[in-house]
Amino acid sequence: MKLSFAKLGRAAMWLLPGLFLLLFFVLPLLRVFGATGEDLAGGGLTWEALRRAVRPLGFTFYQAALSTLATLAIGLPAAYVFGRFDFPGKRRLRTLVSLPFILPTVVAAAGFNALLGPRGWVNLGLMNLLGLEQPPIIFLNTLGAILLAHVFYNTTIILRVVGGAWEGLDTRVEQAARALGASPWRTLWEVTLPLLRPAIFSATLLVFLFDFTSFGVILLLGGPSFATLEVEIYIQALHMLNLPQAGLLSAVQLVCTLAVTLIYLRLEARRSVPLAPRLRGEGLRRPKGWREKLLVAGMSALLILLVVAPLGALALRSVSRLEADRGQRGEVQTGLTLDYYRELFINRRGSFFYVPPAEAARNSLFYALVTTGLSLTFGGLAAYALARRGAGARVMDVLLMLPLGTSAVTLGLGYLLTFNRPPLDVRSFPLLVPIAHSLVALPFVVRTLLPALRSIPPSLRQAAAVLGASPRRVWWEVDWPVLGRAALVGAVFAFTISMGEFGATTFLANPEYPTLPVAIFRFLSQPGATNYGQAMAMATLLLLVCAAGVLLLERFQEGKEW
Amino acid sequence: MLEVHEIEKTYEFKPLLRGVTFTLEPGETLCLLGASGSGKSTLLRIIAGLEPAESGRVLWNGADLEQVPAYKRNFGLMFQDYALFPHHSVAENVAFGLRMHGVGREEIGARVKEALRQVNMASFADRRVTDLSGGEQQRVALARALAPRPRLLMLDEPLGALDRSLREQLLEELRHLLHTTEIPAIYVTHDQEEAFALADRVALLHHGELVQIGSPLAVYQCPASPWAARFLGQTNLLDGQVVEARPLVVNTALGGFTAHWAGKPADGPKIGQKVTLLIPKREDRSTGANVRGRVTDVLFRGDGFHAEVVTATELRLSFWLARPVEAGEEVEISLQANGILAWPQSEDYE
Repeated sequence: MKLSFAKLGRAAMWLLPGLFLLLFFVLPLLRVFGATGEDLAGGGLTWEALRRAVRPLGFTFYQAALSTLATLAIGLPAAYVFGRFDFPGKRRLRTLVSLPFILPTVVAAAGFNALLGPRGWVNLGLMNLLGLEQPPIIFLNTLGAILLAHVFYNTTIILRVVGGAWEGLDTRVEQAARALGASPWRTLWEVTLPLLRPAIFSATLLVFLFDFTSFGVILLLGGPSFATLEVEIYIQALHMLNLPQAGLLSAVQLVCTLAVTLIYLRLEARRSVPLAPRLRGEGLRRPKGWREKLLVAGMSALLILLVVAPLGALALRSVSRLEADRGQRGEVQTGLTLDYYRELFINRRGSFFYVPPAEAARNSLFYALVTTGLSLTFGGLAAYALARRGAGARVMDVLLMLPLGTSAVTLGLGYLLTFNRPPLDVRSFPLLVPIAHSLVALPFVVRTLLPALRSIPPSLRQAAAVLGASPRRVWWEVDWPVLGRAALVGAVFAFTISMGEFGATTFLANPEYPTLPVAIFRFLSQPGATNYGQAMAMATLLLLVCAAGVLLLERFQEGKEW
Repeated sequence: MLEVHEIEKTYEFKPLLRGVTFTLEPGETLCLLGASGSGKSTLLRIIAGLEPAESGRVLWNGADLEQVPAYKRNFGLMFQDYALFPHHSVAENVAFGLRMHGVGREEIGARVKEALRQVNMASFADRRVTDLSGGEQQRVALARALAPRPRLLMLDEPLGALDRSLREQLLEELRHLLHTTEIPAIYVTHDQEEAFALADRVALLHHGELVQIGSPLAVYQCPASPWAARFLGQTNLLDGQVVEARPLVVNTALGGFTAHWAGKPADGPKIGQKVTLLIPKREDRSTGANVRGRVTDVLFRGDGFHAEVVTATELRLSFWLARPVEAGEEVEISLQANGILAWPQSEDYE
């Protein structure tokens, strides 16, 4: 039997992503479960330890539920505005709101810090104005900070999924209800919302999942008094060096998130927008009357404020000198400065463990490029496997989506427990960082490539073959031109995810090779205006990378839901 | 040239093609005629090498093609949905096959022009294919299939998606093209008018089986089965019983008819055998046999009248008449005696 290109390709598209997932996803997670089981059986973990897991678990659910509700409170009206009205700047506003979604948590935290933190614009301004010694607004380390950051992050999910479904609803159904005598409120309640229910449900679950597994936001904005499962795992594993307790918490976390993910995937599989409109955008119209105009304008202003205020504060703070540097006395020269950016390239302390931020940026860039390569390779192969459908494809589909709901911290801990012997050793094998990043990016990459792949009619490939194109040539001439654009979108996703990933990286990054987010975290927690300024400068650089990414994404996938 | 031998194929555990065998002569156009789901398109894809057959062979000039992949066969295939490359212009689509065959750049330019001229699309060379109408796409697809000068051209319902007047125009152009290029062609369709207009020979495919193959006239005048007759528009079928074998006389609800045996010689006729009888539609006043009935509906069709007639025994028949008749009128229709055919009775002609 001849081993043809096609057969080799078919074997590779199942085997390679399958092995990758088994080795770097399933195995570490099983290891977490296994270690916890052993500890429980061997008495290494007491009931006391179990009891200590209950409090963070409760708080995790509590804050995730509150955050989800807050996100819905802003997201649903916004979805209505985007699904029913056409107004100037709508596309730009949608792009702006989607920016937080790929923004690293450290950047968001730095942004809110720059706006409302003790050295933020508002507090410094008020202190200056009222002549106060202490910052009057306490924002950091409150539940409010956590909620606000989660709303900032996830509003775009509600907006895209529910707003998209709303735009896709057939307006004739609502007109029929009105003609049959239903008031606008009755129509909304009895026709529109039931039709939107699947979309609302799946968007809500997704938001809940992201809030549940949120790590950087809680660590950086919530502070020590608000320990969720994620933060507790981090503290137990890296600060207390209590791996059994961390493992137990991870196992609890995994059970919860896997359950939510599976429910989400089930819903998602069944979700279909009923009764598509005859023309795209048919249900959209300009706002009429002062009430609608006020609603659209108010909602737009609120969304702009939500996104622009913290990010603008961050960017401005990175070029402003507002307080004294360490060791400086007397009157501070306030004003614009590029000092913080210049400092990024200087190793002032000459310390062995100190890594200049420029090197962290280089590390991040390297990891991001490797991540992009890995996730496109495995994501591409997996997308081809999934495009064939069948039982194997369904298993692979679920397996590929699971990393979406798995917390990065748990993954990091799993790696720590599994890869502890050379050559695959967390301390000496630097590629584990981009591998973990690839797993986080994989669901996004596959979800981007798959629709493009399915959009290629089989007759196109057959036509090319009949006209004399070899299988390799068919791929290059037919698949690639269609896939290339989706691959670029997937690459942007993978790149920005890797640039900003924080949870898994804190476990895996060698202290000598930190990434930008890790460096920002270190600088943010150190005293002194220069450190603070440098954190702001690095966060601003990351923000620019992400903004460029979002602009690229928006250019390349018009009308997609995420 | 092309020999197709005992092709078998199943789809989802049901037989799709059952022992299909035929040959194609140089320069010949063969029309594969069959209802949708009869396996026509699958047969084309097997010949093209896009799908494997479960058994049977495809030979070209005596050489088995099994080990030859699609891209090395140099057979042209025009798809039902045209399958034009949306990311290429008209000219780039036509040039595709030439590029694959390593034709030089200058020659490609000339041959693309030539192919587009053949289908009257020369002025469209730089257009995007997504901006073309259905008929224009059809022409580009044809030009693309012809440009590499294939050894065999296969067309899968190429006119299926077009409206009637456009279809007639393109049919005429296609007819002209197939005759001037002299490329042997297999044309798949479910429309007998198309098949009769283009075919040197017609092959009838029914439930994956090749029922009959022959010239359009032979197939129309002497269908091999009641199904074939009905499929070609001969709908006057009735049950009968053989009363005399030689010459064949069949007794029916309309009385006795002298008929020709159109079934296999081995299957009859025997006295007492149940048969299906075909009564031709066209009236022929020179002969003796006739049918009486009342006209229920009449359609004027320019060159004659299409009359629905119900007999005293409640049989519904239809006829082509040269003379004007009116609904409700009692008529007596003379039949073309040598057009009356009989087959052994079968249930399978609906």
